[in-house]
Amino acid sequence: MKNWKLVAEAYGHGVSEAELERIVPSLESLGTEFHKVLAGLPSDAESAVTFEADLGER
Amino acid sequence: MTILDAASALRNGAVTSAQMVESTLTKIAECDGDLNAFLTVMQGPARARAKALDSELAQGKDRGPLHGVSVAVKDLFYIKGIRTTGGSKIFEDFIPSYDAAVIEHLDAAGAVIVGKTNLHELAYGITSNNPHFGAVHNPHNLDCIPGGSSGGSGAAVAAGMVPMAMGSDTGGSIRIPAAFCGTVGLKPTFGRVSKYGCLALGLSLDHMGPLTMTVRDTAVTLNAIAGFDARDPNSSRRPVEDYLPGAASPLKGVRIGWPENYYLESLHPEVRSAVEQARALAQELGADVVSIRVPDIAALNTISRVILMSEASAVLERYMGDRSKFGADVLALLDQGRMLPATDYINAQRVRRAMQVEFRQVFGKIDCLFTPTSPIPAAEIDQKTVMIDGVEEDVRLASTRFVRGINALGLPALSQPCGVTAAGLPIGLQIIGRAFEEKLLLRVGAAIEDGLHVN
Repeated sequence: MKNWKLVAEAYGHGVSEAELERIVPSLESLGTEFHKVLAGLPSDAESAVTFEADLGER
Repeated sequence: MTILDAASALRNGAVTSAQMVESTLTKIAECDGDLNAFLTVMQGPARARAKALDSELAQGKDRGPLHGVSVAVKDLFYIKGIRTTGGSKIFEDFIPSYDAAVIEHLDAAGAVIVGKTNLHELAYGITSNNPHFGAVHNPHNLDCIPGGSSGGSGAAVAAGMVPMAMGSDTGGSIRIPAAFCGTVGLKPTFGRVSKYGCLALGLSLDHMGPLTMTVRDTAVTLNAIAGFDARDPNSSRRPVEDYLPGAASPLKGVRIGWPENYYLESLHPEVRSAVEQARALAQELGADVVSIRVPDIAALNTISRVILMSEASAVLERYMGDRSKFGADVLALLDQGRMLPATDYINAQRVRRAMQVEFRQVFGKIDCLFTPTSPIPAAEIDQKTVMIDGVEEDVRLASTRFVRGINALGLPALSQPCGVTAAGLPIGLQIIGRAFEEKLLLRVGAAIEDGLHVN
């Protein structure tokens, strides 16, 4: 498990301990689910968000 | 009265737009004390606009079916000179200096905007229990949520205050209130309706669309608001169509997908039976119902949450210096988004593209997919969890389970009433289609609506 308290302190977002306690379970479960999903991602997968060099010419 | 009924009444002289506005304002005054669906009622501008539109019609200038019809918009669409709060303390005094593209389109079509509807704070949630402007109540049971985030729009239409109210949908925010309030709601394809002049939440997930009493009214509204807009970088140049289905809409030859997995698991029994009834009707009407295995929707929902949290926190970062201006639930989501690493966001976008390809393959075998909109009917205000099949689930996660991922795919999705629980709460059917195939979705939806008579 990540040390979310240190993460929050490092960002300096001003998240109180009570607020952190509320969000940590959700962050943890999302992280677990997300990293399971990532396990199946091919290494050459492209992003759905792409850069367009011809911006404005479409 | 529906938009099409109003259009007919205006043209045969049974009513004027000015009279319709008065009747709408009276209804709002009567009902909104209980519902809290409106944040701003625009009496003066609406009366003046109706008078001008009556004159136009008398002189033979007819702008189409929305001409002179009273409508409302969620309070995140900019209207020049009218306060636009986004349901947030941050924007409580924000007065835009220009109109959103949707407002321009509605004006051009002759709609009379009577007011701006309440919503979940910053459109970031599904209860519409707004900490700054008060909770919106469900017209079918005042103790229940209307859904959200476009809860005021859903309540306003369901209570008959207006025949159409615009909403926005980032993870189900049009379809959930449509399902919970018993209205029709359309999330169009990403890029079909301009987002220009709307408060943003999820840059690659936000969609603008209508909530109405009937499928045909949704079609009429889409006819007015769809189209390319160079000011929205995601706007599509694909030509628009006439989306209004005919009087009889046969389904012969339409392949309707019926999910073998995910969508019919863990849901309220009355929801299941109502959706099964819609499937049976589609078969009776000549559709080919095809059992189909859908890709991993739980995975799609997971990456959608990562994308939404990251985008919403990025968009709202600049306002987070004063934490007192946010309600606790929205602040918790924004804090989570700020703690996700950029690598998670980028990897979620990579999975998103892979899942788009998987869904394209599914839609090679079917023309549209039937699912419940939500596994549960409307929860009570302040209810945090719900029991489904003996398992306790978070109300927010349960309500968004069937709708959230479709935003990441950008596909069009319609929610329409398909039944009512024994407790009198509406049940929604979701119909998901291929990108830019709103015409087909609305044709199927109209046929189901004509057959079920649940509106």
